[in-house]
Amino acid sequence: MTARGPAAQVVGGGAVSALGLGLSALFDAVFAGRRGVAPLRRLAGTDALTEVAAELPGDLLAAAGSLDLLPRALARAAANEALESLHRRGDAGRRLRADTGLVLATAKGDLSGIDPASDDGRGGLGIPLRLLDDVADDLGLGGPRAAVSCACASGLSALALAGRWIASAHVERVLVVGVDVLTPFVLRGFSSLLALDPGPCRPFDRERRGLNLGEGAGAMLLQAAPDGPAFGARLAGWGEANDANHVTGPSRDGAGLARAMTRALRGAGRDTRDVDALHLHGTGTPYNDAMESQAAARVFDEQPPAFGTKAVTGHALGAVGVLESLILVEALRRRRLPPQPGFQTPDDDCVLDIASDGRALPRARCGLEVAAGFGGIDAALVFEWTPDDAGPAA
Amino acid sequence: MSAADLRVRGLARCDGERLVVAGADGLRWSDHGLEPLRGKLRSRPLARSPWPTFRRLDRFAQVLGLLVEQLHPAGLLDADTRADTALVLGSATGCLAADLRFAASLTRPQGVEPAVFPYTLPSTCLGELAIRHELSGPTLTLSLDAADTRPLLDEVARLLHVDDLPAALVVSGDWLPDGAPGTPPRAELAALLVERGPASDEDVATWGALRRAPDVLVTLKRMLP
Repeated sequence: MTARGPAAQVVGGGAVSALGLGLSALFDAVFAGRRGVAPLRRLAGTDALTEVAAELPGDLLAAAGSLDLLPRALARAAANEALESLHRRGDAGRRLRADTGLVLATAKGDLSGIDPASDDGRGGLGIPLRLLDDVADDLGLGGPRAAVSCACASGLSALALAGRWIASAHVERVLVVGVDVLTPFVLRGFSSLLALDPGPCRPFDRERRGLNLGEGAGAMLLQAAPDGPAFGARLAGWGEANDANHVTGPSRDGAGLARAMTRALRGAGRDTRDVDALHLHGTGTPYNDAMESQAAARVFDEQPPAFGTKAVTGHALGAVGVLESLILVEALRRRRLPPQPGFQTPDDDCVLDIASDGRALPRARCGLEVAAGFGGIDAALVFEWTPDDAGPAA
Repeated sequence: MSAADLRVRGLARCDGERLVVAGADGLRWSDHGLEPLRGKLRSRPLARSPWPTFRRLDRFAQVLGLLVEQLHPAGLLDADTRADTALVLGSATGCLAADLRFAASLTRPQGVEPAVFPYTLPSTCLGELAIRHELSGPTLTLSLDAADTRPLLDEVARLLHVDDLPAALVVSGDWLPDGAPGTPPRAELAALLVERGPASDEDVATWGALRRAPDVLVTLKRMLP
């Protein structure tokens, strides 16, 4: 992305995760270092090489009505929280929603009709386009629509696409929703690749053994300029790249992710010294975390304070990029990085500025968010904390 | 920004019967050891491997790979350009065939098929193309109705212009020859190599070979303003 000035103001956010319903539940747990990862409940008995995951609380599943309706219900719940400022405006808000775009991010979306656990034969067939149309109709969003499926980088790719829409004046306002649900299909798939930690994961720790899966939805409302209450943050840049090296494993040298980070910083008109916080993908697999260290070493002369949050949220696939972007913005707002559950012993392969305890940030103006996914995809976003951009109170 | 801001450097397409690249007479599937797929459009095993790792790919990735091979992007792009060339897939059914195969393996006594699972994520197929042609630019997988290529190309135009990229390899279509419950059989894919710049009449006129490939011409006309 070329430097084009302020790209997209963050004017709303929403979340549903293993930590509960709403952004507050997510932020409270993340900044307290309280894991959402727990022994399997709904998926107990699944033939997988793990006993834990970050599953949704049972009441959220019950509220959805059925497993097949869960992706749509999660997306709607997170989206409604993000759209709250529009909902409060009554008819005017309804008119604004009619022009609002929607970008859906998902890895597997609605697997009804495919997964043997599917219970009502809705026939989502894992086709993101079908889920996109359902969610847009539910929310009354009448602007442009797109569904992005870039594996574990889906959320960041979707936010980049939304930023591009605003930068090119394709749309004034766009809601990005990331959503994925944990099913036997997904759990056994990652298990078959030997990617799971049998117990709670330990990103960046020397003894890390793999990832914990999660589920949920995250939503972020972006707008060309705030016209009401805003988060005081903006999506200022994005960058993407491909490792062109391996379709499931990260490149060993981190060159692809480094390219994505460099592109994002260049697009935001930022220097590496401007980065006050680095939110890593931090899956907890040996190769991913080492790759991120390699990438950071390529980009930064001096490592910025870094952190990961999948030990708390689990790896919620298409949802996690949006959730983690919201967490990064919150870290900038609090001027504080959260603790790192599971991180005890530093690893020579992870030369990053990681701390097990929460800590204050000396500066909190600019944060870098990164992710990587199957297909060799690397993605990075730059968020800036700009309280002066906050609009007038409603 | 829209598809009108893209220049088409190369196009190849395939259906159940043949592979066609603009500028050539086209190849039959049999040239790749595959019987023609007319009729029931049923995929058959390939007899030989066009490149060493080809046989381990899932069928959608194989067909994509063969299609893009005809376009030969590495021959159209220099090494510097390939480092910034985007990869974009637009498909409705995407990796549904791999999804169904992996789901079926969930109930097998011998367990799931680990080799299939990565291909249940559509970006994996693009990763194979990236490796094969050394394309390391942004990679984007969109779920959309492939019958209408305009929204896909509009998205590609925004990607190239806003992100300041020189070119993109775009793959559009569906490959589900046997269909699926609730989804009819579909077997048509197109690959385009596009670059930034206005699509002019001259661009189209340089495609003298289009006269020998009327189906490609029809496709191109539908895509260009």
